Amino acid sequence: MAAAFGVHFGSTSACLAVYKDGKTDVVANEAGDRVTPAIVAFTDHDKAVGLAAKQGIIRNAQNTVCNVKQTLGREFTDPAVQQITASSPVKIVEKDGKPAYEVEFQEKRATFTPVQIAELVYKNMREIAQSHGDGEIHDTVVTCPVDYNPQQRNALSQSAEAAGFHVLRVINEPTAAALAYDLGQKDIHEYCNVLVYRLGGTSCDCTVISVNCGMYRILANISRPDIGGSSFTDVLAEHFAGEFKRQWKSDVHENKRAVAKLKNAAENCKHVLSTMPTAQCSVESLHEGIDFQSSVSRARFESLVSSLLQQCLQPVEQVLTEAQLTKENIHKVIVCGGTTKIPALQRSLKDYFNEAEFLNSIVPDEVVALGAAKQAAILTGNEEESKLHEQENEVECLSKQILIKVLPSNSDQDKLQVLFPAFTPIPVRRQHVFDLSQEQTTFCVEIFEADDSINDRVLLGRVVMQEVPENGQITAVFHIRREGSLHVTCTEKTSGKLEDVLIEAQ
Amino acid sequence: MDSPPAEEDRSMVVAKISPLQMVSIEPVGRWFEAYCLRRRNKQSLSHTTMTSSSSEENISDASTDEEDELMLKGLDPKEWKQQDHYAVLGLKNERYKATEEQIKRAYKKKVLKHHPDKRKARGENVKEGDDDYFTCITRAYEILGNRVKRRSYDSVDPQFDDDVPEVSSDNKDKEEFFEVFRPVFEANARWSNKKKPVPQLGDIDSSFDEVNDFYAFWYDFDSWREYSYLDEEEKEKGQDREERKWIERQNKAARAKRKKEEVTRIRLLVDNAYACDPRIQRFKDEEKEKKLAQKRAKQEAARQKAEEEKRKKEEELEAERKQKEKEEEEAKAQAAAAKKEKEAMKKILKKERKTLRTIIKEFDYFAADEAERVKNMADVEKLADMLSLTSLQSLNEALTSGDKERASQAFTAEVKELDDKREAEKQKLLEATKKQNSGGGSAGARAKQWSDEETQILIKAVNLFPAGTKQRWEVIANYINQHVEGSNRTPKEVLGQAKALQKNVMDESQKQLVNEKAFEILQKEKEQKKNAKVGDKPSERVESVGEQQVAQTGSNPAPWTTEEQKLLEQALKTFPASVKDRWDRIAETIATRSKKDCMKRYKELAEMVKAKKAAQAAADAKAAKKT
Repeated sequence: MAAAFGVHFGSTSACLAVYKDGKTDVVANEAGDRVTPAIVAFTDHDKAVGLAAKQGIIRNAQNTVCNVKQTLGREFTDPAVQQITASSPVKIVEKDGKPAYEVEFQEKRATFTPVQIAELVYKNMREIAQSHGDGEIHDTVVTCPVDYNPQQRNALSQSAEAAGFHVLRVINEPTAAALAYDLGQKDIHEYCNVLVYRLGGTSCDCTVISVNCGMYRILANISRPDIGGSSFTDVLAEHFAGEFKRQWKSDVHENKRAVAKLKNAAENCKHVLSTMPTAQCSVESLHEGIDFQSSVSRARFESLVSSLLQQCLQPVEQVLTEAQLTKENIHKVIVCGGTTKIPALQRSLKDYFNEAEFLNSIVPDEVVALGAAKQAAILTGNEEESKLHEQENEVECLSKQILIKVLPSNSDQDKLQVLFPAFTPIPVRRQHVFDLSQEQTTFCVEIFEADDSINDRVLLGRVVMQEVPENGQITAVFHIRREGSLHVTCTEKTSGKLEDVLIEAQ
Repeated sequence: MDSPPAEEDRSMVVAKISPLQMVSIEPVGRWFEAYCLRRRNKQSLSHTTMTSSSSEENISDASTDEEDELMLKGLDPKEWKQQDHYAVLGLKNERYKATEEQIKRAYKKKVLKHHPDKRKARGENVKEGDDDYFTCITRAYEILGNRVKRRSYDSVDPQFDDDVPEVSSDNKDKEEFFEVFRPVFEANARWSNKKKPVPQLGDIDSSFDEVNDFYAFWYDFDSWREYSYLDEEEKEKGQDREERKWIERQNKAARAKRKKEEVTRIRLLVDNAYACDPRIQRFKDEEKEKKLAQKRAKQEAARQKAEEEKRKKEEELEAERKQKEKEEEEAKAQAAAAKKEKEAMKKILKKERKTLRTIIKEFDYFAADEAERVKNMADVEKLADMLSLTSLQSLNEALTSGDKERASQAFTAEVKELDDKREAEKQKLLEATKKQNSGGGSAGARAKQWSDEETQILIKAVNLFPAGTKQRWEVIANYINQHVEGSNRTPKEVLGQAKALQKNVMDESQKQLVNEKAFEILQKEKEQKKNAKVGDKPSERVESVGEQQVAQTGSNPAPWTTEEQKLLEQALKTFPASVKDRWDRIAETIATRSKKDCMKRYKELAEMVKAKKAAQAAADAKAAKKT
């Protein structure tokens, strides 16, 4: 099987993962980094993508395009674009109603549309894919934020196609993350609610996904473009600036270049602090020719950013209210995005969801790309079928949950269990095996239907088996057919006795 | 803890399940893909790997198992070729749609049940070796489990209906057509070699393209059907190479024949369908209708265009005609007005003249004696002819305003003025002619007059020594001096003369004329020389070419020069039309022209002026029209 790729194109960085020979892995770029900054810089003679562009940002800010993901596929009049235009060091102009970056390239003024910029980033990704040593066809799944509209998705896929990728599908980032952890993929009966917490360079997304019968359904999504890793860097940089002022009685803020330098150093410190207890910060000739040297401990850093950490939990609460769930309903938490590497943040999340399973075994800034690669692997080979039409995302599901109660109950409590949760895709089949106790000769299972609360349940029907052998074992198969009717078949193992009912759909 | 009540001792259904709901699902994961695949293929759950528990699969199949067994037991292993292998494996209903997986499973199931060892263990009696019906099962799997063999078996599937619907009026019916042909096409579609979905017959509302695609597909239908299964003899049975070859040949021929039949069959099917298809008829009709409509529209458009053009032309013509009429009328009116005015002016002039004459007469021509009277009378006539209207009027006024003395004064003054004016004009003209004549003469005043001979030689010399010759004029002067006896010309003189010649006389024709005359002159000179020898009498006057011409022929054919023209004009003015022998006098003033020449010239000029005026009028009229 040919290799299948997954590309995660974030606002600050991009990551490429490959599925090959049953394994998914991230492909490192030519510099050996597994994540490439999604930054494009234009210079007098060349254009640079990735680390080279990021390093030049101090000198060449007005010709270095960052954060292109925010403008991609949007209209120029979009308030979000207007906001970016106001704050961006690169000049953004209107071109055919769409925003375009005006930069100086090869000593000429040139405009590039966001699609073109994204294409350059994807091209860089494709070069990495090619260096991986595979044929020309690069079947790829690309990811996008949940709140991307079809137009933006289209723009994203366009730029990937233009860069030479064969885009199989555009999927949402949180679902890709859930797929990376194989949720519901191995065991179709797995049912859980997953919270995907993504904290990237410039934005924070919280998504609640319900996994049922191997299918993912997004219950709620909150996007906060105001919270991001850069705020952490800023706090740290401010801390250093204060220290510098105390030490040398001189304000770094007078010098823009110095601020940028300090930010770079602070960012490095932040990265180091995610793994080490202390980090050194040294900037040569920071301001007025003074070399700056300092160190910061993780504890210090955590105390600096404690208010930010608090802020980072806000979207979590928001998304839970939107999904009408409590934190106890969340079974799993997935973290992704580079900023979630901060140990304090993971700790606070873990504390918040103390009952949920915390999934962080995959490096957070690679998880989305890995998920995409997995999806690409699933889709590779059946070209025609991989193309989805809009309405095909819709799946027939049960509108209410189905519960069963087995009588007589062995235990004291009323043993009411959920057979199919609400919104279970059909057709579905479930099988339960009941061991009968001694001297038990009758077996009865009642089937209920209920809305959210199981208290106002409605009895749909029951299956009763009389004169079953003692110590018998009853296998009950519940099968919801395509047309929506529920067929219940109970078979006794030793006698082969069979009893079935058909509950029709309305 | 509620125990089941008595009335609930049996299974029952109380309510119906709530209706389904469409929910948007993230398009990721293998289960989603599996779902989509199922939905696309419209398969039920049991056909996919979804069946986690396969033991419950064939609950409904239990009843048919017994029938199967009876059937199996009745099979004769020797007759395997006629047997329905799908039925043997219990896939009677799946047939060619059965997946390889299904076949494999079905076979394994049958083996578990019908293997001789198993049956022996169950105590059933088993026939020895190949005679047992179990060989049928293995044979069936042998064929269906092998892709190639299965295909050849599928090709001749006894269950397949090879019939082709007939072309009949019944089948042409709208409803009937689809009912009859759709299942046939659907059934035959399975032979298609192409992976893609075979185009469906569609319905009565199918678009032209759809129908077209459908027939295009079926007309070059690529079938995978083959007939190796029906081979009479097996190749492997041949004793030796020759025999095997022979068998193969036979089989090949039989297969080809069958294949051909199949192709014809499909062809016939499509032909019949095409003939019966109500849509084809409809499309044909529509096409016809469309063409007709197009034609009609075209015709209509052409007709309209022609009409439009005709109308436009007529309008234009009408407008032109009107314009012309208007112009004509205007011109007429103008002409009439001009005529009237002219007449009026003439009348006034006449009247004024008359008054002048009568006044003068009244004053008795201010004359004392007869001679003065005659002179005054002539003066009066002259005044009346020459004076313009306004001056005439003023004169009349002056004449009538006072007594005889004052009138006489005025009259004489006027006569004098007129005479002065004419004299002045004459003088001016004379001066001008003098000046003209002295163009060469001015030099001649200082030096000697240029003789004709000298001029001839000069012209010759000028041509001989073209511009650019070193010290050209000196050379020319020397040349003239050498060739003309008694001539002593300085280069300056030569230059002046050459220039004068160039300026005045020497337009191209005259030059030619001079050259032509050169010989004549030479002759004359010779004669003269002869005469001179006899009489030795030099000629006194050398006549100009024109004068000679006039003298000799009575007319000068050369074109009129500007001087001549001026002279003529002046003469015309000096001698008004009333003067007797006017033309003789005019001719006298112009030496180089005869009377006849002058008259001719006058006529030409008059005509020219007339033409000029007409052209001017036309241009004016045009300009007026434009504005």
